[in-house]
Amino acid sequence: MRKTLLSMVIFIAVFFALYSCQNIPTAPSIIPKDPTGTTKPSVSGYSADGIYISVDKIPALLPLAVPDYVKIRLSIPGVENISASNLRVFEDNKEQGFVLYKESTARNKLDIAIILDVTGSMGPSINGAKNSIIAFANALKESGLDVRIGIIPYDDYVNPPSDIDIDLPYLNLSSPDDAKEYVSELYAGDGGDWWENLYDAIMFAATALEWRPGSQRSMILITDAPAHYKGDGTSYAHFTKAEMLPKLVGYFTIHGAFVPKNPYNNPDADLTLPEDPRELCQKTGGIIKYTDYYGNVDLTDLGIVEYVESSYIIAFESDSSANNHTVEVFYESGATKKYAKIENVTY
Amino acid sequence: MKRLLVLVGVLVAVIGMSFELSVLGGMELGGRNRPFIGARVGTLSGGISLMLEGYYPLSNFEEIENINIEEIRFIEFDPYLYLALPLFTNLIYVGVAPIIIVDLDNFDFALYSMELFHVKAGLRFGQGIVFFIEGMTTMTTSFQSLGIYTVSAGIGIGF
Repeated sequence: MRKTLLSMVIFIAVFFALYSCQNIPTAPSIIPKDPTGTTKPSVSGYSADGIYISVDKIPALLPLAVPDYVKIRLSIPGVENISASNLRVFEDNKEQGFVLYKESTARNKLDIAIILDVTGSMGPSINGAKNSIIAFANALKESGLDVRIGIIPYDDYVNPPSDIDIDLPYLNLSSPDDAKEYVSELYAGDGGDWWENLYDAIMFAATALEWRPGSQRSMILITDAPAHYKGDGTSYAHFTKAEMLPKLVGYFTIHGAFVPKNPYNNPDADLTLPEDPRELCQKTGGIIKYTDYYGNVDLTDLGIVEYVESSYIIAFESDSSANNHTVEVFYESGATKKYAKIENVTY
Repeated sequence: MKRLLVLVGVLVAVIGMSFELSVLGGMELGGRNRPFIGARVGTLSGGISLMLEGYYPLSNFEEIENINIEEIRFIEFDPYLYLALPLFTNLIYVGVAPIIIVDLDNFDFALYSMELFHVKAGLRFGQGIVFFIEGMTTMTTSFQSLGIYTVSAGIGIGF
């Protein structure tokens, strides 16, 4: 009898003790069955502006005897209250039953790496960028989010950049106060040719920073120059976008604040060009914003906080046998209709 | 620290009551059809008892030969509450457990879902050295099976 009572007490104690521990992404609910007999709406009348989706691949263990599910991150900055009734989700043209939950309920930490171009061409805008990072850090601190900020200064090299003299080659994910202190010591150096090695800086941030488990992971790229890439004739660029995307998509959201010089003075440019980093933002579901002509950057206006606050996860069970998938999301609330599509994605 | 104390406390209490330590292997039937390995320690005997069970799903059978313990980051941890019926030297049992995910890198853990739990039935043979076979599934709080099952077998020592 004593053993029985003790077993039950331990079982209940373990259950409630663990209930309070929620830093690992978990399943929010049971995914409903797929709707049948439905047809996909026409995209005419839907706007693709201001809606961002990407696959979420942050690793987590799928327990035994539990169906696998796909997670799609959805953000409509400025729209904080989205319900499942506002959405329709299609995988490979088939409508999906899904559950919707706010990402912050599963991941209550925010880690941000700022990838900052510190070359000579940024001279007119570096102080604006630094002030903006400080203001951004203050805003994040005041938002009440559990936030860490890392800063990666780069030119043709990273860790350390070659053209400026700084004590710390980069700042690992740290408190907003540490980020403010670090960024205040940065300045624009030289940089050589027009292209800079921002792909190495992004991959350095992805692999070297100590990203916290259970955190929402974002990078903010601030630059006025296109990227060096592996195969462009330089010895110090180690990555192409094709090599980077599988390591970034699903794990990080890359936002960009671009000074509108070549190629960023053409928002309609072909983003698949090897030196154009905007494709990384597009494929990771990030925001692409342009500064004014002088490069004044306002990170608080970039919408990162709003992006995080309006970030949802759509979870559904994949029943498609295809290796690569197309996922489409239709959002409708009153007169507002938005549509987003990602193609050729793997889970 | 609080979590570590909870785990240590539970282990000490369970071990203090004496009993069975086993290793097991099995296979999912449905879902991802993953093989898995595991271990369990607890008080399994007639009546109500408790077993703490850890599972590590593998992507395929070949992975069994190449497991690098240091690379294991997440495991499943299920504290089973069992109801068992002795039958000569054998034991027939059914159990229920919440599904808990453990992050070994950061010693963090979380309840996988408030709406899902594991249900298991098994048969244990022998005393001293014990053998067992089990079947398990996941059920919702409205007692519907998710339709994916596992079968497993194991060996252990009981005292």
